[in-house]
Amino acid sequence: MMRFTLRQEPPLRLAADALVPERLAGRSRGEIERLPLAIGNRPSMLGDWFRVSGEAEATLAIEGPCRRLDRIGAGMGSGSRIVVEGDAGAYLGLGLRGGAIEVAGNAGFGAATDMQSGVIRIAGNAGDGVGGALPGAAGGMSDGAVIIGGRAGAAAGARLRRGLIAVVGDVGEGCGAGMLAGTIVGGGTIARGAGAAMRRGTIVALGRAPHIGACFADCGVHDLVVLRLLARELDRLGVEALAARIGSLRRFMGDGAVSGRGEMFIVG
Amino acid sequence: MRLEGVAIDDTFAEAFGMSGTRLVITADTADWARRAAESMTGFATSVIGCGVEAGVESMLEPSATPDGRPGVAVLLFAVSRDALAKALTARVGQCVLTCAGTACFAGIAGETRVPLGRSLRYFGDGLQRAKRIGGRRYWRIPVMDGEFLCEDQAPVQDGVGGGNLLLLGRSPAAVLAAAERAVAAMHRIPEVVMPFPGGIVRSGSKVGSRYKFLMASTNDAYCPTVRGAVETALEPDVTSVLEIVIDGLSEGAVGRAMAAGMRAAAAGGAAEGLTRITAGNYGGKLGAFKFALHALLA
Repeated sequence: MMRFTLRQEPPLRLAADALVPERLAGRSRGEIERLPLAIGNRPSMLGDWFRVSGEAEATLAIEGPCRRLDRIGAGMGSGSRIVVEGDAGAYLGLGLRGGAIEVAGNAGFGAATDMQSGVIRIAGNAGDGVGGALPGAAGGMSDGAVIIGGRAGAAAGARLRRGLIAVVGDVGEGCGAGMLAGTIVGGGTIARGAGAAMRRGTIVALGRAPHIGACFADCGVHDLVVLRLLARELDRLGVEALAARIGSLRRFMGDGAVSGRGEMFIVG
Repeated sequence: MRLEGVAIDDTFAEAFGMSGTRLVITADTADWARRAAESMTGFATSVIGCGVEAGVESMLEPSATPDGRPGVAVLLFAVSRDALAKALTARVGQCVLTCAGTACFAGIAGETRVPLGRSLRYFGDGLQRAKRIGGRRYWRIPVMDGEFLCEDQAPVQDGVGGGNLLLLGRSPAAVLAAAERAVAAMHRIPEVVMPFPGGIVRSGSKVGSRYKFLMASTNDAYCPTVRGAVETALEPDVTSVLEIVIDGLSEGAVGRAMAAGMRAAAAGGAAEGLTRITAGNYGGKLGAFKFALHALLA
């Protein structure tokens, strides 16, 4: 496994697009150290910032003060894996096409933006815009799973097109706003604006009941097979803490303000 | 060749290529899952008269089903993918969607698929919802006891239809007992079903008839009550013949089931009344698969 140790916290945002296993395959350590990295709006080389050790394999590890290290795993394909042994910057897993990214700490803004497949696990908190869309794009994340062990910021799953976002902790305002499909599960409190203008898709709120918009229709409490399937999928993904809490839930259909055909499930 | 004194003919069963699939039906209890499965695999004994051949493959523990509820695996076979698709939609729509508490899942993987839930969803009258979980797409159709959840599509694969055994004996009771033992043993083999009632058929047929409107008629060579009036295939002491037809998802599965069936049928020994085991074929000219009885027991 190749290990990249960030020597010091960069003064500006550092774009880590090059740190993807399939882009490193077949390259010598010298070639890897000469790969270009953008620091702010200036070019630099990977070796300027990272100490490189080990051999290039399907898995790579990143360590050091990485909270300004952006775009980790951007566009990575299936079969690859990145382990971040600390925090990650903005746009973690941007346009991810497959494989797995694991972050031991927190992630910044826009994790899983335009994600297309694969799995992202963030042990700590995630910033705003998890699973969101690129600017101007109609839809956000289109498949795969994002597992967040802590809290998620605002607009998690906004314009979500497909896939699963599971947040063990609280979720910020505008969760699933304008979502087109897919599933969001929140274990803590979900702030106001959840599901606003959602067209399809599912939001499952397992914590304190969120504020439900006026254009959502209460359909009563039900024990549904689809929720069992969701619980088993969460279990398979290792989110037993959420899976165990899914049972009979109250279903709301909406958002009627946009003739939406989505749904929200809440406890009780 | 003899097995426990029972003669095994040096012949082969001739079987045909079919399109097949497996569905998993679950419900709140094993009993309700079984009721749905038996209903949807009813009147499915022969593609000639029913359009599809189907049966219950096995009961499934909750740990073996997608939703963690008790379930039943059923296999369905038809002469073509289109015929199978048509039968699936009709049978799941009438027998599973209608059955209390059930859900319906695809039971095999594959890229060649036919519509299932995507055909039935319109029953939801616009209130149906699609849901993708773990890479599989389902339709949720509102019904009066909650939701009917059904896999969007069912993969289909090449299968084998028409594997068969003919059991001959000195008394109807002895032949029936041997056939029951054989079917019980075959049920323990994965990927096969025996589509006739109880897995056994008494009305074996031959191709053609003296009546022009009939494409198949009774296999008079194996009918003991007319043996003196036709060119019979029966020994003088044979008074009963029963057939077991086997459909499977693979040639190997059908072969294993036939072997297990022959061994179980003969286990009672010739003294019990079963005298001979043979198989039906068309001279090897029609079917793509040939199951030689001696080779299966080797």
